[in-house]
Amino acid sequence: MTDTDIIKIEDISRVRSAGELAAIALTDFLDLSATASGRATFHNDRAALEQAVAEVHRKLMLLDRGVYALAAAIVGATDYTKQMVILRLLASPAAAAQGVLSAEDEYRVLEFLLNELPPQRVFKLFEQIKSARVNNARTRRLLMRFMLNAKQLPFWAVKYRRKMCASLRHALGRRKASIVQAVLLKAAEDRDGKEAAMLESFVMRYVAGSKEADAILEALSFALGNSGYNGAGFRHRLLSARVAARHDWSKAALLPYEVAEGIRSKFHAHRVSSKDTLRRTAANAGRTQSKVLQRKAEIEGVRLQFDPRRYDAVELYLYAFERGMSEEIELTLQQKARSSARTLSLTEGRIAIVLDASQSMFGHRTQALRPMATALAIRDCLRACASARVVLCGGRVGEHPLLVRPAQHTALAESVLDALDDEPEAIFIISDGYENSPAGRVDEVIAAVQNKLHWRVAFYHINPVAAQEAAGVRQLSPRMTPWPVHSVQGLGLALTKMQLLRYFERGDCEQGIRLLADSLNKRMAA
Amino acid sequence: MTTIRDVLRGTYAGRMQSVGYMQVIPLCSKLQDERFAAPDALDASTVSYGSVVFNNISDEPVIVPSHLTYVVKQRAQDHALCGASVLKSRERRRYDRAACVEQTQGGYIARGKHSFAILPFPLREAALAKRRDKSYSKLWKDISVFNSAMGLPRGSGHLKAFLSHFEKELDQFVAEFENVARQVGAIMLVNGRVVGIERTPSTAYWQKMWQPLVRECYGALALKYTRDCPRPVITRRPMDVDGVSTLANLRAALNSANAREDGQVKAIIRKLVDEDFSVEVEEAVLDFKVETLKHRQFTGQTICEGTRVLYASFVATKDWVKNANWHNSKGFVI
Repeated sequence: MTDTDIIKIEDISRVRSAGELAAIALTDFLDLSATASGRATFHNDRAALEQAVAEVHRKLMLLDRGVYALAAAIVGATDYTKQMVILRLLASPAAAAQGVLSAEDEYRVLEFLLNELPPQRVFKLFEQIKSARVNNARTRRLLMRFMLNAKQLPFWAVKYRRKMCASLRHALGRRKASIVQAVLLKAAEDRDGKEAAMLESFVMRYVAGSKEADAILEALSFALGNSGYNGAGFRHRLLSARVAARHDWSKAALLPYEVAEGIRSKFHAHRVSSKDTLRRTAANAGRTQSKVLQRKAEIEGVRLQFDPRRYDAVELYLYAFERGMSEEIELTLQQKARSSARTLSLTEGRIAIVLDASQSMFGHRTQALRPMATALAIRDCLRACASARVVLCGGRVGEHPLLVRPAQHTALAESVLDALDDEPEAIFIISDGYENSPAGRVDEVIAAVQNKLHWRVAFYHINPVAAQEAAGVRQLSPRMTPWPVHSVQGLGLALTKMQLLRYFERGDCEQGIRLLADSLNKRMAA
Repeated sequence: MTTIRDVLRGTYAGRMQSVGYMQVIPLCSKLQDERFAAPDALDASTVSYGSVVFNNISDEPVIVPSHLTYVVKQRAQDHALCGASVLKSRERRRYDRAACVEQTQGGYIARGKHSFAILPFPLREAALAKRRDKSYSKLWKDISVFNSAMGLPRGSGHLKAFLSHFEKELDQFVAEFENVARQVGAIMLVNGRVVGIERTPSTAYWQKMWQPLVRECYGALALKYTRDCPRPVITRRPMDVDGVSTLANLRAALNSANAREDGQVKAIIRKLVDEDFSVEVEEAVLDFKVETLKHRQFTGQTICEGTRVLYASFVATKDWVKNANWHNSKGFVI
């Protein structure tokens, strides 16, 4: 990464003068950013939640739009949060960008956020942008650059054709979109100089580097509604298969399942069954579909290839609990832990991890072993971040040293004392918060460490289990705020929040904002 | 002649688990008798009110625990058994002395595997006393009194009313307490007082019984205490941290607090009334004998093979619980 790639903090005076207000606005935002999903919950309906979220977003953006953009780029923020931040920042003029980020850096953060979203959410966001009639130069640039530089552009054109068409027409405008569509009916060799210049000016200027112009233009042509060139089909095999599958069902083998199934039900319903679609397109199945197919294949006694790289660490641990740990899974878990660790900001160099592996970490039978799997994934990630000693509380290490199965009662106090042996700078207790041997002993030990031994070790409680009775997560001690972390990604958010709160408690907002920028720079580099 | 000491023979006490009003002392054993299947191996149905038919579909005999209860999602009358029993492998047997536990619900439970519960603690002594009574409505009044004590509408003899109303609270008990290695039973305490003793033949069997016992049976009593007593008795021995200045001191303070708790557990077990039970034999199946036992402190049932206790379930008598302060007071000395 060069100097020009780094997001720099410009003018921080505005945030500094806001003082405590800035701290409140930012922590409120971070609290919501990990959980807001735009869906109703048990306690709140969708409209009420949206209103509450909008208010928190408004306050932080009013304080400083740069901080607002940086905060959304934190690890673990939900896609809904990212969508909302992109929309709000695009809807307000970039000229108003005054504060911690320059207009160009803010644009780069927007691009980063957009690239973090899965394609279906990106196109959903583009629909929202269109509905909100946001169509300034930055928006057009963001949309066009995102679509035209995507490695999977032809695949997206096939899978999200209508949505992409609408996005292109919004970004280009109706007139230019019609011109581009008409020009693209001609093959490259048939276009005159004026037409080539128009394509260059309307489209190709958004393409970074020397990419395959023909493939990009063909995908664009297909998305805009063309079925090929005048008198000939597309050269790209996926696009031509999509067009040909209407009359030649064998071509459907190249298409995504949903697209092929749509074509089958419309053009081949009388002679081809949906089972055949599944069979033909099995190799193109996405991650979620693969899972579904895996179960189906097992029932039918078919062996399917399992690629551990496609699953996150929690899913891999669940898989290992069920089928056993293989060398391949172990290696993938280590790689994933190292990769997640690179995006985390941990200030402590020497830490201890107390891993609650008591029986209650088994979780509910509907999601058996998920709390334990999450705890193990978080353990790996923390261990990859710093020099760490792991102390088990309960549990049973069976067939593989990484795989700890839940067992026994919860006597965390002894484990905390064991963890203190090496005088770590921080102790991370990963636990569901249900202590019973006896309840309250951990609190006594922490109180004694702080008040009698006067040690400055920081205690953090990471809780992978939501508790209805605690209206959030269960607390082990009033001296430790429990951090709800349901995935490795959520760990980044929790860690950053912990550190931010420490800076804010010291009245050091500036350091907090720099932490956000550093965290983003690390992720961009990773 | 049988005493509590005989019932607990071959087991040792684990570390006490204590949360809120409830405490559990695990009973562990190296003697694991794997010959028996748990009640989840049974196909159950009802054929008339008060009659439960069991089909043991496993190849092992099944110990039917005391006060086994079926609360089903079907539109059917839920039933509870008032005593323990043993079913031979592949045996089909009809029990005609079961109790209906929903006063106004009609319908029979269809044959199948159903999840089971154990009657709430406050109903168990009454159920055991009525085990030979053939009336299907024998528990309605007790359920109604219990529901009313829990703040539910009077005159409702519906067990489901209690279980639905306190579903979330009962679920919590399951998460709070955990089984330990080789655990085959437990001494159950509520608010520092022993209220029950449970023993099963093996760890595998115990694991199937744990949730129904901690949730519906003893959880119900703990909930009752939550309503009746504003604050739980603190059973945790606090650490003495005066003079603690090093990590070693702190560890010593923790060990000392743990040792005092171990001492407390031993004292609790020593205090169990060790007089002989009065014994009534209920049935003999194969080499196994089902007996009902009673003395001042406990009433319950055991299943034995010769003198070897395979299964035991005792609840503290109402009189003992009511006069616990009197029973626990020290004798007169000058």
